[in-house]
Amino acid sequence: MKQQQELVYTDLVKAHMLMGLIELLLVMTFGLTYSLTFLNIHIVDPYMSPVRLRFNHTNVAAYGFLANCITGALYWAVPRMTGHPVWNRAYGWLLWAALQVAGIGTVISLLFFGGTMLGGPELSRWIGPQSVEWSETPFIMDVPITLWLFVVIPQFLVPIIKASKEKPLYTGLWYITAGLVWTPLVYVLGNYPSVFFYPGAAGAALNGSFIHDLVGLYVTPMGWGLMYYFVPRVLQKPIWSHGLGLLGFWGLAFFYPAQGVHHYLWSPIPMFAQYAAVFATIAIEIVVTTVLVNFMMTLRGSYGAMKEDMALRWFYVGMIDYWITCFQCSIQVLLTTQKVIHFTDWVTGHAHLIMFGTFGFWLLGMYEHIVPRMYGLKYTYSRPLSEMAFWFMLIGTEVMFVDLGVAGIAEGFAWIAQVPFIDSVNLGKPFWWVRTASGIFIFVGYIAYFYNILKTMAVGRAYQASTKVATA
Amino acid sequence: MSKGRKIFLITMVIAVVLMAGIPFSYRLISWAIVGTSASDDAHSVFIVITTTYLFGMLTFASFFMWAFLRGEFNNIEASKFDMIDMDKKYDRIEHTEV
Repeated sequence: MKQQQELVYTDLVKAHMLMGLIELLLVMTFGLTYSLTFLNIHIVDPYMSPVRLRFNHTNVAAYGFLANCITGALYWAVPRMTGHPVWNRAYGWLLWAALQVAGIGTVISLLFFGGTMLGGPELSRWIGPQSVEWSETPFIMDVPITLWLFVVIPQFLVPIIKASKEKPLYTGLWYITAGLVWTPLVYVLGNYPSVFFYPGAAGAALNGSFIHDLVGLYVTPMGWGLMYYFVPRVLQKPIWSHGLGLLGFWGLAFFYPAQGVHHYLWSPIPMFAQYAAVFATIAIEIVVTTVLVNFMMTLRGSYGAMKEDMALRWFYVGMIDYWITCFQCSIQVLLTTQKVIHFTDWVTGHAHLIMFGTFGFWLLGMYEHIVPRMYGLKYTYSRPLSEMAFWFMLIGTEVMFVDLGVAGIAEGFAWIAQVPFIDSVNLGKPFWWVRTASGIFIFVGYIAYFYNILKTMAVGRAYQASTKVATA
Repeated sequence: MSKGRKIFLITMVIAVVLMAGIPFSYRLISWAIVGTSASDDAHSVFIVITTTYLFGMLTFASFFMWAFLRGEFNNIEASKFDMIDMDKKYDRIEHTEV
């Protein structure tokens, strides 16, 4: 049996986690500052456009927070699920450095380059934000991000291939393998053809696939793959049905790629593609429900653990948010619903519940579980801080979701009634105040979380040092 | 696997296969119709969307067949016990118990 230092490279787990958590702080700062502009509080004007904050809010969430925290969790979970360490430790540090260069480069480019900023409009196409939704990442950063996504594959695929030669693969590893392979393909699809080769409806169709598949074919398989490891581990019992887990995986593989066009309903994209996207979106709710049933049945008989274990609480609240978001998705892709909610705040609320209320919560839960154990501890530094972080972020996220959902419906009907646009803006203002207030809640909760993690690491280091002295 | 669990699993498999089959067939039919009758603009949009999707699906259908033929689904529930047992062993060695 291999020793821990040979199986799990905890230094890489810590490095990715710390950068991910720091970048989440940036993400929240950008989001909060951007939300203030809706209240006519302009902190960055006239130095830069508020839209640059929005680009950073979303892109740093994807390539800073999520990429780092998911990779860190993979460094812990993949060796534990396969029984083999990742390919190479030094290579891991090289990958870590490359990801940080790409992440920080993206922030700097999106803030200061192109348009009226450095480089001017002439170089915008190459060094400034690209005017394609979710593909705003500048071209000079697209190339290193693409390369990173390809070269990270062997780091985690090598132990998975080794394990597959020994016995049938566990569900979590199916998800992770697919996520590793899908992600670079999705990134290439969304950042090059639609920007450089296919303008118009064809490009929009590809871009829609990219927007949705970045969630569905990167964050979702990685998130569920890790959940299939962490939930049984925390509950100390196997998942209820491995067969259902595999069904969920293959359902995801066959349904998800068809969904992307639902981001451009009522557009010039041919209706056959729009109808197929609507149907696939509604159908995925079946797959999501099977996965949820599996996890809820695993929890059966262990409900008390939800009270005791903070990580489990993050996991299950995230799962409920996931189901709500997917159910909401199957309703909002109906062409009739789209007439009302398209371009409104509804979509923003939906995006926050899936990206933060689900995957963000899961990752926070994973590190709540991993960090003490990396140092031989059982709990984080402070339970009250953990509780505070959980409730502040939960309340903030759910309030934001409901608030923006209601705002979206009000705005949508105002536009249908063809009231003057400024009236619909005034209609949105009370909702934007609530959005900012809920954002402050999330921010405060996150500060408590981050402080608690840093203190746990400090206490853990002291504990490890004292253990070494005692042993000596 | 208990009888109830087995029935639930089979029902869900049928539901998912049926649901997946409809949009897949729909896309194949539209490929045939649009590909043989529409204008150039529609062609380019159609080729981009549909070919990407079908290519992806074909890859995964092959992958699924490979897994099936390799016997990945023969003892479908065994992996979940292996995973949890292995994790508990590592926990005991590394003092990372839950």
